[in-house]
Amino acid sequence: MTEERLLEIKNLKKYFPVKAGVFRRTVAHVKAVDDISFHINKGETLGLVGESGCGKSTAGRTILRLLEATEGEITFEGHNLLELDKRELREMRKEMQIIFQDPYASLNPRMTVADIVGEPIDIHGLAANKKERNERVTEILDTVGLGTEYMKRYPHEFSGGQRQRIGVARALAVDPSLIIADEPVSALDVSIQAQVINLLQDLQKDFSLTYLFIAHDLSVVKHISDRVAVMYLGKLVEVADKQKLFDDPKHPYTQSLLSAIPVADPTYKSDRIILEGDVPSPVNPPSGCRFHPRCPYAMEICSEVEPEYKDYGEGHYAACHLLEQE
Amino acid sequence: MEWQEVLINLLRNKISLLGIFIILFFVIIAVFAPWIAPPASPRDPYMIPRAGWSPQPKPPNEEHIFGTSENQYDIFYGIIWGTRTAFRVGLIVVGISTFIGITIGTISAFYGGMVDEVMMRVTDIFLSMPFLVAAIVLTTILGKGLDNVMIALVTFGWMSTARLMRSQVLEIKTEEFVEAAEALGASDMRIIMRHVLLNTIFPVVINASMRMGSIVITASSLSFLGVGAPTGYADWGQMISFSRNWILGTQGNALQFWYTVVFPGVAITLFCLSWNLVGDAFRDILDPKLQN
Amino acid sequence: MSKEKLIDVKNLATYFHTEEGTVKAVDGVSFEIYPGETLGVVGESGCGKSVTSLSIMRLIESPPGKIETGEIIFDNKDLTKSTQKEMRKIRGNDISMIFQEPMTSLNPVYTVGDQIMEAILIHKDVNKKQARQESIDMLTKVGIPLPEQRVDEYPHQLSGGMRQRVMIAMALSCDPQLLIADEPTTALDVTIQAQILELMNGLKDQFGMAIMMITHDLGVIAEVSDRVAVMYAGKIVEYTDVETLYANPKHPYTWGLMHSIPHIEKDVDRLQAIPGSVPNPLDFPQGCKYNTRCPFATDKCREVEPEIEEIEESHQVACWHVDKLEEAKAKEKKEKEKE
Repeated sequence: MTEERLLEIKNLKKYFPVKAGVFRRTVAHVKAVDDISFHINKGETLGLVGESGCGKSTAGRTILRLLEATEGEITFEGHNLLELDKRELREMRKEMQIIFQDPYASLNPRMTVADIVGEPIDIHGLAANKKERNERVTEILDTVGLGTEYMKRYPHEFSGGQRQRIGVARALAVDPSLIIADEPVSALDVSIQAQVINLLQDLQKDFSLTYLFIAHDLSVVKHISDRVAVMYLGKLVEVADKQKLFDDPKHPYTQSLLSAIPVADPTYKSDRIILEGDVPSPVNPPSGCRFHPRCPYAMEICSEVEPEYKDYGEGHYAACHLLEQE
Repeated sequence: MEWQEVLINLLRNKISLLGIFIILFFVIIAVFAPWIAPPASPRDPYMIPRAGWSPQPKPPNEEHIFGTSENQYDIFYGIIWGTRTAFRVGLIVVGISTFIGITIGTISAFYGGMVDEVMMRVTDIFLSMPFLVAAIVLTTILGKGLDNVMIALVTFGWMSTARLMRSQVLEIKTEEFVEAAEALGASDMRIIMRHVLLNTIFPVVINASMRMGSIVITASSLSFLGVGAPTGYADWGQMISFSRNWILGTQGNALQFWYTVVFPGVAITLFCLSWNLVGDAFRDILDPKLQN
Repeated sequence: MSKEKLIDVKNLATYFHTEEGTVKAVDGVSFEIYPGETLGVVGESGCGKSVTSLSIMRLIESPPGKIETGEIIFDNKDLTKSTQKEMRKIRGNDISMIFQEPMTSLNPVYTVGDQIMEAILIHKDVNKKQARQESIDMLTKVGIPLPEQRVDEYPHQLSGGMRQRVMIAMALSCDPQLLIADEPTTALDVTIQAQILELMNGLKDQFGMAIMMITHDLGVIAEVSDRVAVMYAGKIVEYTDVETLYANPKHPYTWGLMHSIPHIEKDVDRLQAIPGSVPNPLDFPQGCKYNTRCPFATDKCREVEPEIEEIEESHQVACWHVDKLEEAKAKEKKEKEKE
């Protein structure tokens, strides 16, 4: 794999204002994404995992500028995305696409499949005429495993798995280099998930795609990713090669997350670390290390000083005071 | 659900079918007015011919089958040509005010922030004025005449649509398919036209259909109050205002002048009812909660 | 395990008569639950697992739903013949249920305490004060911190995991013999899911009740079940104890499902996806309902539906071609050894 970086995120922040009172004054901020840095190499899949509310979806949308970043730098193929004006950004969207979680909400119910998949072609003028457009749509639908007989149909006539294929086809139509997949299989039936995962893997090979794969299901992330990033309450706690992360998780949160996965094997007995309590609110996150109220190894320093996020060798990044002391 | 499906459902629904029939009936009357009630002077067909100058209405007879009103205006002629007036007022006022409402509501919701704030406060100001009073005042300022009535009705009639549209767009705007279109690089215009409007327009259409009837009533009220069409103009509201002094007949014969109220009254009621029936049926068909 | 069955479901069929046709949501399923055990029911959306549990509770909305045939023997009574009045005594008292979305199953305008107390007051002969104390005890038992305070809070003030704990407290407040849990952890995060599963396992021993665990997650099933029923398109296709099921699945659907999910403990390059999609319940295929997606399907499968039968001791399968799957497994094993 080439080590060329396709996407580089530096100190990205996304705060949502919390408004209250008669004058709708901003009284606080939800720190959905709070100072995260990572990169994605060309052709690889970076899995981004975390529990609900950890900010992983917000991170994905902020990278695509579907949400405006509060602060930070997003470098994509040498361009700082945050500096592009509206027109340049629109042009740039050809290169970066998104696949959504909900195959029902993400397709316009009043458009035919041909129009949904054809829309990106129209927007970017990728076809000279109607005939060429239709040929292109047919080709893409064929690529994702949908026959042309479906072209004139509306989304509600399809099953969840088929709808997700339509969503993939739409993203593929502009021939992007990066696809952000936001929980693309979690709304699907178990037996359908594998179909979509396999499809995504095939497409990656055939079109040399780079994926940012956002999910909460660690087994799926482990299967599809090359590297994995773990988020907790708006922060990255650990990023590493898949094997390293799953074999030797450094951060206590990653450790407990991995141990919490129910294994589909009744003979398998894991040493489960059951975390106490719930994920705190991102409006008022704990001081110091955000994980310290639930951390089984919390020390005094953890509640006072935020641990530094740094490389512990061979691209194994983590943010934990325990590691610093070792 | 698609347009064709909606149409088929509308035609299958007995209530809306009845409404559609009544509307069609009025359309036919409006189109064939010159043949049903040939105008006395073709240059000015909307002026109701007079059968004399006597102030007292005359009951239906062979020459004037619906009778004549105060000052001998022919009621039948007024009703027939009034149909055209009703359609003209309804379509123009509802059309323009709906268009304004959709535009303001959509822009307001889609862009949000200051744009939304300013537009919605303006809407609030217009909403805070009592509709009928405001319309009367504006018509009085502009001067008597149907065009001025329409201007007044449009000026004070777009707010409900704007509000409705705004809430609709706010809901649709957060849908993932709108986000998907944005991610594809679609322009704002394209997103609004193809994704937002397409999914929000139905409730507004229902609303517009309901307003067709109520606008005609309001226009009639203005005429009834004397700030509408010029005297003698074929307009249902005016027809009723002619009957104002004759609602009660002479002593011992209270219903003596029934024809002055009943004919224009029935016309207005039927017109209004038909649009409401269609609007109601429309809503039933489109409301997914009522579908099962 | 004691031989006395707690609940015995025999040939249960629940249909929904809709405008578009009859949906055979549950079409002849038989299973039993013994006291103190956990029966896992696994299947995908629309397989009839939830309808099965709602049928036991007699909570099928009728019309359009109707229990067509079958018996549900509980406490020497056939629940399918019980009146709604009799059912009200059983629900929440002998059999209780928890659902996937704890927010929608809690009433937002009542405090947590009010809702737990309601169940206690209905079924037990206690006064309000005692009921309140029992509610607090229940909240303590389900691991809610500061129960005296939480008892007066409203559902929206609690997190998803806490709400599910409240639901469990409500369900267990009357010491039921059977707890039906319909995807109780699906809406929760993994770390919270682990908490809830551990809690349920602990409470099961403490209260000595049986659990019917309904889920689509093969991991959860493996973790909590003693025995498992695999459902597909309204039928149980495989029914055995959990070790046997995972070590030696005999139905092609079970086998396919296990191969199609990524396993955290072992790596594969490519998942073996089950082709096609779950059949439309209005339009089930003729014969074996899995024949449209099964790699071993023959003409026989497309014509005649196999009945579920015991092929080994306490291992029931509904398939004409158990042997073909064994051949495939042997082949797979050989290939693995070659590597």
